[in-house]
Amino acid sequence: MPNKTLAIYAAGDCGACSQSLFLSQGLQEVLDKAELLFWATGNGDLTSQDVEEYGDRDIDVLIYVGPVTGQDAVSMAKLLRRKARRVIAYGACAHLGGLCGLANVTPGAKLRGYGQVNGEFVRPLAAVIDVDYIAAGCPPPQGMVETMMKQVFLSDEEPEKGTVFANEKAVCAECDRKHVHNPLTEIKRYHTTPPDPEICLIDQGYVCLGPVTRGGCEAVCLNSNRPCTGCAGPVSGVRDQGGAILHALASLVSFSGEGKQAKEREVLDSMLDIVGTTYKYSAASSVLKGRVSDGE
Amino acid sequence: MSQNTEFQPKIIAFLCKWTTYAAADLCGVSRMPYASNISIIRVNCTGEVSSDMILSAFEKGADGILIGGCRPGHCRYEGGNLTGSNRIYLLKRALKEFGFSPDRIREVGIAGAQGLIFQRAVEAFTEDIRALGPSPVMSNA
Repeated sequence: MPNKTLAIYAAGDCGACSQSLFLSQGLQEVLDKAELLFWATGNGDLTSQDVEEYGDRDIDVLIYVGPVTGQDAVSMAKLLRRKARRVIAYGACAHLGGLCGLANVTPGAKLRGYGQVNGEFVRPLAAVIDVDYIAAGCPPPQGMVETMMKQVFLSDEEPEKGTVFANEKAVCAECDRKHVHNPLTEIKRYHTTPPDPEICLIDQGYVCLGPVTRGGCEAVCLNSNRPCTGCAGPVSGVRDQGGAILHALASLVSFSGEGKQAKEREVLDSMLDIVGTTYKYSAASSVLKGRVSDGE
Repeated sequence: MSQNTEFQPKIIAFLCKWTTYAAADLCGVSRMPYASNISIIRVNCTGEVSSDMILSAFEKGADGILIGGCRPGHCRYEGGNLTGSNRIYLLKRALKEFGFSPDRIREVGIAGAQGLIFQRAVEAFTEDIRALGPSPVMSNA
């Protein structure tokens, strides 16, 4: 059986995804049996002419890292799709738009290379081309990368199209913190008030995206006493990650007695930077996809 | 060519089966006409309407969402309408940060006997959404 071919294209990633690939045991095992055609970054290492030299579907598996920003990236993504038999969207940027997606929401974003490039939004890869597999996370956790590499390259049966390499269950399923079931009476921010390391962060009043985010990371942020920021994207069945956690938080804020609703609204008003917190990675793949002008 | 080229908004209404849905029912049997732009979905309580449902409705082309439940203190499930109202309040804040007009979501509390009030509420909301224009969600892709 001829060896499978692998290519990695990093379009404007921060380097963490490339590093996680580079360091993964999974890639090392695969490289014994697969041929690496290229590992290029989007800033000129590999031009479209270079890619054109490959025949259609020459690349067995293409790993695409980073968000899609601007028309050049769109045409490159389409070209790579033609040359590749299977495409993996690797990391939160390719999967959801990632942190770069927040540029869509910034009014009049003028960030070089990102934001509304010629009036265009940052997009997740799946908004531009057909994606076969998704490695979720920022960057994808080592365990999941290893599983993915083994299943894609070394197993006899290829994984089902559309497989997301992260757990179906939410991060909460992997988190060891204790529930106390107190109604929320304030929203805290972790850089001003340090959280208790034993108790569920939502029960303490922090905005934690654990309940709506796919697991697979073994709750690494929560074990470092940080709230989950939602890098692995929404759990299956949820369309809009930010909307889902806002729904949950608003339900938990509860007072009783006189002036109940006014007190609850006061707590909800104290929540700052809602989009930056709850749509941290998913702004570009949310329902609104970015800033809109409406009724102004 | 249609003579009437005026923008016809699509409005999805989530109505509580105990009160506002009953009002809509009464409005119908009393033969009171109201705008046909509204599509009614009956729910047990407005506390059942999730943010995901509202956002999915916008994604599928709704221009406005009307949420009709009980007035505060009249909920059949203790405080479902108040919890639902808090959720919509927070969702509206998020939508505002996206630049999306929070006026596209309106909450009303109408008792089961107030068919006329329901008619007026639908007419007023339809006019307001027509003034706002089509939802920017679809053109955003």
